[in-house]
Amino acid sequence: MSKEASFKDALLAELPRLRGFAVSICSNGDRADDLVQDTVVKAWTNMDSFTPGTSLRAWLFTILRNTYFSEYRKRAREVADVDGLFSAKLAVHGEQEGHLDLEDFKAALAKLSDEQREVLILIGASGFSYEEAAEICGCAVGTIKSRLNRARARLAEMLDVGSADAFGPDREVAAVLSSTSGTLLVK
Amino acid sequence: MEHRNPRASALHPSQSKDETMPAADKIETDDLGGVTSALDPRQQATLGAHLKAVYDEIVSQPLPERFLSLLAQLETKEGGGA
Repeated sequence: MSKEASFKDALLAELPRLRGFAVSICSNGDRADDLVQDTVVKAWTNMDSFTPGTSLRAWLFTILRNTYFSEYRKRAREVADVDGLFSAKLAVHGEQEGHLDLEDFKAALAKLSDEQREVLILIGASGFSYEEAAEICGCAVGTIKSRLNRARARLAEMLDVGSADAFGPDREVAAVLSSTSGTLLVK
Repeated sequence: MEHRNPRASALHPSQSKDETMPAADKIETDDLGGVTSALDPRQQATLGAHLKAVYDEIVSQPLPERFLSLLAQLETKEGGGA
């Protein structure tokens, strides 16, 4: 198999996750696919700078987020559609999650900063380590950790999960949470 | 003899001319660096489950046709040109 062909296959295999990352940080479905497309073209053009044996996924995610922050963010702001955000792309199988109140969660996620959303997705959903996330974002591991903590805290606050302090003493809330594991709502 | 971390060089190739290619970008690192306001494990697990659900929902969608044709197009161009 030619080098191009195997690179293409590897790229193709990563595309669903790359899209997941794009939609997550970009919060706008159509722009997200443009972002993925730009990333694919850049990856292809710069194929030679990828070191075989290293993580193609991390490399692609890096290109995507750099492209987003340098070329898309401003434009995205112009068309800010804070509430429409994820809904268009994500409205589909909400019911499958049953008790998970995904729509509320998405709305809260959309209110975070791009950097906060990015770190949540990288670590919380894509399974990258702190070190990998730091490399992808071009910042220190400590930055990733504090950003992540703040993002989680904000989400928890918006979703009424409550801060650790507020949460601790509230037995009723704890009971509700543990009996309905995975549910967010503790109004 | 160069001692380069292969991972680092893969992610941050030094001769990248395109600033959006790995390496060039620097976002602010003004965070305090400290680990603050950690949630308890159950809260984290709850948020984590939701994050995964949101992400997996997109990941499991069928790949839009435009990407297949884009790759086919790139491959043809590359093969024919060089």
